[in-house]
Amino acid sequence: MAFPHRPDAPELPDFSMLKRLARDQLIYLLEQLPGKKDLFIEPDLMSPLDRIANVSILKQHEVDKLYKVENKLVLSSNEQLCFLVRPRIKNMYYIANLVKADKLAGRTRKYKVIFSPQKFYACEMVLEEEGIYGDVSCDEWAFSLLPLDVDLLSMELPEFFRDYFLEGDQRWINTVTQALHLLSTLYGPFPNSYGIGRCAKMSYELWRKLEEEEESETKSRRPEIGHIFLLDRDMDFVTALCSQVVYEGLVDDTFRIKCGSVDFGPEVTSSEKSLKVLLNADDKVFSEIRNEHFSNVFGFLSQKARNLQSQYDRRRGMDIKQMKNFVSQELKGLKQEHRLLSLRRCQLGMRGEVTVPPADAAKGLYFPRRDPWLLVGGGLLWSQMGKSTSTFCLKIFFLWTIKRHPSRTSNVSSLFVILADIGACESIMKKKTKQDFQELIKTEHALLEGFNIRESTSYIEEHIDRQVSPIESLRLMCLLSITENGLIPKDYRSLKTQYLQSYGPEHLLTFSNLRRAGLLTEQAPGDTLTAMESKVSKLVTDKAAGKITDAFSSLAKRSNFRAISKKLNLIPRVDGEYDLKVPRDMAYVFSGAYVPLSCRIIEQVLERRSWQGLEEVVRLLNCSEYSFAGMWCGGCGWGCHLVLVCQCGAEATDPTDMTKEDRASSESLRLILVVFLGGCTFSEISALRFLGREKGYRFIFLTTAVTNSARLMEAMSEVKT
Amino acid sequence: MDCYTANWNPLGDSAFYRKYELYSMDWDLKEELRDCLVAAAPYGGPIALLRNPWRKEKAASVRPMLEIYSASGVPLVSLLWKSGPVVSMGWSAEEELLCVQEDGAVLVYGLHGDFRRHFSMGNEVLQNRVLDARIFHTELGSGVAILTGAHRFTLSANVGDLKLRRMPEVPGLQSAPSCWTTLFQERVAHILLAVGPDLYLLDHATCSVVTPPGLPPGVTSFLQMAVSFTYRHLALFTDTGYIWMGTASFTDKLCEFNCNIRAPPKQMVWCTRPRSKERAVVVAWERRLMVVGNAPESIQFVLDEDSYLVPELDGVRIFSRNTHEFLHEVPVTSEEIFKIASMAPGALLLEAQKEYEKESQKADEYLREIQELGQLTQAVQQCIEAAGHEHRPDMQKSLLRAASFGKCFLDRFPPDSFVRMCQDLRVLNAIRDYHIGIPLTYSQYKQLTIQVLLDRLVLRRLYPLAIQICEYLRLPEVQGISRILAHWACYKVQQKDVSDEDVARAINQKLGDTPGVSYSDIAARAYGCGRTELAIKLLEYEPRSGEQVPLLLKMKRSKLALSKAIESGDTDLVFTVLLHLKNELNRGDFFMTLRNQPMALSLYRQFCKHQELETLKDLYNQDDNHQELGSFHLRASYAAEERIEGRVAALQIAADAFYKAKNEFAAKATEDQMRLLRLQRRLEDELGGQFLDLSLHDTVTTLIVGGHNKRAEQLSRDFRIPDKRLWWLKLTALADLEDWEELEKFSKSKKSPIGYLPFVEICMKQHNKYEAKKYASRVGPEQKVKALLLVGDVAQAADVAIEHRSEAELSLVLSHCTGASDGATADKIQRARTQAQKK
Repeated sequence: MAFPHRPDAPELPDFSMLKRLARDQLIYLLEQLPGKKDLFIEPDLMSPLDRIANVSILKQHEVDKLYKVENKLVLSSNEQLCFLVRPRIKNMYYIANLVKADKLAGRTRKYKVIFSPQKFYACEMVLEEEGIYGDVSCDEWAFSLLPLDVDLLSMELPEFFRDYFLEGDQRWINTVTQALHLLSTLYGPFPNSYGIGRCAKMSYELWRKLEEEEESETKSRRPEIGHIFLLDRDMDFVTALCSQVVYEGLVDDTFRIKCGSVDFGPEVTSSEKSLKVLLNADDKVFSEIRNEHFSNVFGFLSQKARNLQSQYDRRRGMDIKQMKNFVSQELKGLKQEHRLLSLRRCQLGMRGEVTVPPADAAKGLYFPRRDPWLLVGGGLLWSQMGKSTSTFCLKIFFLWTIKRHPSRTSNVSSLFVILADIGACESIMKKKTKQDFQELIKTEHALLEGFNIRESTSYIEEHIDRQVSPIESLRLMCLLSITENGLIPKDYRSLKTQYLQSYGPEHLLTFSNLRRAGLLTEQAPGDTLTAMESKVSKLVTDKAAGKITDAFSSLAKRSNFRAISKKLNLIPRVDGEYDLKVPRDMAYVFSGAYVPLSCRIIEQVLERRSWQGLEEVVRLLNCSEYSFAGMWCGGCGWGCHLVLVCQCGAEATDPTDMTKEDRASSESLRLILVVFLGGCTFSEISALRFLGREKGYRFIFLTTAVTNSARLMEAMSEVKT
Repeated sequence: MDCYTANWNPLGDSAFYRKYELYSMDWDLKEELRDCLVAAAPYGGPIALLRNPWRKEKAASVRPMLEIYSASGVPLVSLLWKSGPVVSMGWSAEEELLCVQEDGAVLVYGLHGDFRRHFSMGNEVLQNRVLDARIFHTELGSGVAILTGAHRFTLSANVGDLKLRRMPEVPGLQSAPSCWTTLFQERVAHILLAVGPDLYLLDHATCSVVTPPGLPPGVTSFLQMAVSFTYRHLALFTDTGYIWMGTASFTDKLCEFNCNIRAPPKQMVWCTRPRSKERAVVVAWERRLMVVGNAPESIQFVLDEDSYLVPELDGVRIFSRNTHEFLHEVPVTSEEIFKIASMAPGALLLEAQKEYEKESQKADEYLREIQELGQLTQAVQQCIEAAGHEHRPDMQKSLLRAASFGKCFLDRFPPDSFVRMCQDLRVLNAIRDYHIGIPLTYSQYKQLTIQVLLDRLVLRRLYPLAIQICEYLRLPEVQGISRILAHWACYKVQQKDVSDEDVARAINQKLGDTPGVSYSDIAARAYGCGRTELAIKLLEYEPRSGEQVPLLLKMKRSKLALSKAIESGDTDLVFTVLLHLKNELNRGDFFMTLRNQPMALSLYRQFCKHQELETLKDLYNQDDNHQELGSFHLRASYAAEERIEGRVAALQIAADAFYKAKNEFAAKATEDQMRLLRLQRRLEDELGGQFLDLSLHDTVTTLIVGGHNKRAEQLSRDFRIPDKRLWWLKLTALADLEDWEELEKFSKSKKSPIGYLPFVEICMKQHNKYEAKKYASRVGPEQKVKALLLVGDVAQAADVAIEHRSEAELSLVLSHCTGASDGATADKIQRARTQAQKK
């Protein structure tokens, strides 16, 4: 089911070093404030921090109490306060208020602000304006790379997307640069670099400058990672806007994976408490199904369950003693495979007799109510296995099926019987199943392929009229706009009007944002805008004026999706049914209907080892100036990094014709770091993992944040506060 | 070689002293040395001369000349002294010339006569004038001690960090002390002075009388005193011609000597070397030089001309009008090798090598002799070490040759000491050259370190030599060549007669992008010299924008700084410049500047959004950006305004702005919102409940749920809500109310624009199968199957599907066939399927 990697696939570098590095630095910073202190943490930093250092580590370094940085003031009695925050203005006001309140009360305490990943001048200025700059000490915690998984590094900066692509604020580029620099110091230089997009180019150039300045020893080191690919999110909005149907993406769309883990609310766990589950390669079952199309997942799981059932059936007719024996011997073996799955199946076998007490389900513990044997077995098993997560993959899947796909429930009715117990299903169904998922996917595919536009438009309209979901509607509108190179004026007006009527007038601002980001635009009558643009660029040729055209460009930017799609063959021609079980290409992540544009670009460039032959695509992406490919010259020892010929005059060595000594490094050449500036989706990750398996590459992902369509839309939305 | 030891003079039994010439001075002295104030820096440093006109009775009408020479007598600078009378001069550790004036002001000059700064020794000194002054060196730096006209002492132990100390008064001191000096013990500077037969030691707080142990009686006055280079020893010269030598702490007497000369000596200095047991003092009179130590006899030299002594770490330099000599104790290794009839291994090795060159078999004999004693290693080491102490290159060579010869017969002799000595000697010979004129000995060089030596070469502007030394010694670039080049460049920018372009080009050519060179530092220096244009040119070469920008700001090139900051991509930098600009320019100009820099503009907007909303508005106004202005007021209408009137007013402004921006859609939408707001307000007043801030859709829904159907209809007419939406809206609202009667009435009011499937769906959702069935019959043919399946009528659905002959519908129905009851239906479908396939 899960495809093994080719035997010659390179090993992934060990990224846990990054965690250790971040932890040590944090500890160092905490030690800078000796003695007991209270720690105020920004909510956004809590999950990342959790992955780095747990509470006991903090306690070891004399952190007394932990508080959330919220709007309300906290009464802390400690003499030393430490704030761990993102460099945001509102946090500065929070701290300023706290300090000023202390001053009024005549208290003097020590305050320390730790900015992560870096501090901004604007923040210091706020502190200064508030008159407390002298009272606090500032520090930076350069924690910008969190390894979420063996091959996924996240900067956990969701605001990057809005800040850069909407507000034109470049301040995070520096952070990206620093992160890349850290990677190259730890894992050696990257011999080949490619990229596309303004932000990518800028980051790349700044990063190179930094490398040259630092004159680090990296140049002499053997590279561990052969390629780096930088990609702007605005190169490919389409992929990010599609509904995800790969298992991990689906979980993200439905429950929102946050920092590599999912928080199941009470409606899922059916208990008072919510439950946090870590999703990564350590979970064997999850890692087998994460990259699968959801339609396979069920088959896979039921197969697993059947296998276990047959083993379990031997239990029948045993007495308690035998049962105990069975549990301790047999189930122990099963545990090696899929411990929780077996338990799950036990319950299936006892259908009608066993129910799952929700509260225990939350702990990963299932006590059959009426079967004492199972109780014994379950208890034993549980005591042996501690905490595991696979069950929840199953559970999520069931819940999701019920929610999105009621027609399938008849097939899984046997499972449903048990799960129906959980009140959550009903509540989710009631709340959210206003429209059929199948229809939605159908519309999306129609949009991608560019047929039945009218029907799709009215579908979207109905979606809005019925107030299905503001974010979903917005997403569909954007998808329509991008695939069609903008909406025709009549639709543009009517859809917007409908939307405003449904969700309130403040979304006028949302539309203005979307327009600025090029996500939702109006088809220009004729080509006036382009004409004007070319006039402007003819008039002014110098660099400064180039920047003015840049400012225009987002307004005038045409997505050209249809043409790109044709050029890159993004819509695979399907003869007959697309076999999702044995995918042929990356299109499987969208049920065979569409190859993600971003992944296709990466595939093509890696194949050609340059942008040669892709000039037309680059032009269509409006990126003629912003695509680049560079090669590291190891020859001259200076590590000069030029596009064509290295400074020392030596021809840059073509990595393909390597001498035998370089075989070891040829392995590194199949390790590829893909940097998504503005976020990437789990679908893209799955697609590239697939590509890697096919071609013997290993991909490593560095993203500013893991994103999905809803997050993108929310970033663009103006909501009343 | 016979006469090699000819200039060796024995002192007692154990030590030899030798004096050799460093340079023959061909400086063109106009004055006699005795008429001048003389200051010579230690470690082969420069010599400063100032003809002292103030010493004479009559006031000088001519201004004196201050002249600075290298140790070899090469003139470095000569300048007219324009300030007041100078009492004393001295060199600091950084080779800056400190001139102490009579009024207590200390003027600091560079090696090339460039005035650096001046400082005062305090009011008390100013009032009482300076009687005498000393410049002294300690581990803290260079200090100045002053004896004022009131016979009080003031000192500062470090002129770099000037802290004046007024020393306590010496009781009963009526006239100037016969002699005095500074001592340095336990990191504190003291003053030792002699008044008649008494010695006083002054520290910060106290004045104590000290007595040197073993001083013979009958001393009525001390004429001269000398402290050793390391402040460890002290020598006293009494009026009886007796010289006492002991530790500076007055705990021990080392030796004594009676020279029977009662005339006060001109100078007395210590002449020892580190770690030598021998202690000796050199005393100079007008025509006589005497080396005295722990021996009954002294060594005497005749001085042909007026001479001046400079104490060094390992000896004494003596310069006069014609010569510059070095007097020191012969180092132990040299003594062992060269002493007549020495049998030391080094001596034998040297001899062996000489014989070897003569192709004599004696070489073998000598070598065997050393090897038999197993002293070859020691011999080689001795030769290497002795080479270091030789001044003449030919002697160095022959010793090194001997060492190299001996090395051949050794198995494992680590080569580095030999190599290092060769390198060091090469450097030393280079700097001892007449043109360079730094006569350092090997011990001094080691004490000084190569870094300091390079600094001194840089100070003398001997950049090429310094660079060559760096290259030769393979020093790391950042400490070596880069640093020197940077200094060179800083010097270069001060050449005012060269044009900006030429200087910039010359500097860039030399420096290129040598690592560790900071162009911004050089530019800062250029700016310091008032060459702003040059500074800007130089900054062009600076790769780090972070370094460029602050200097550009300082030079008031804010706009250039802004574009540089933007190029850097560092937003913090941009921000710094922005706020700087904001204060510097008036608002209009500031906004205009921003306008040309979209990146800066967006950054500033971000800032304003958080902090200065009003400025944001002005910014949009200035740009005639009506679209953004509209958005701004629109946001204000729900974020900033509380009262309904205010909100409507804000919306009105927004609408106007949208019109100006030719965005009619937004304008209309805003106007609609105004209307809606007013209406919602009225609804709240009339009906109660919560209406404000609901969307239009929700407003209508609320009305329907509240049973105000008339109002709802009115509203939907007013706002031209499309039929489809209205139907969806009503359907949902009525189903929520479970008002089935009204729903049915509604469904029959006219033909549904959304079809009847939604009716079925919504009824099923409320678990009302009965009602659902009513509508299922009205669903159009395309959706009939779906509707029937929804209400659970599988059989009928199958019939319809068969009738439609639609494969998709058939499989849909089939998938709903569960349980036994549907078995028949399933069969029926299968039959229909096979039939269809047959056809």
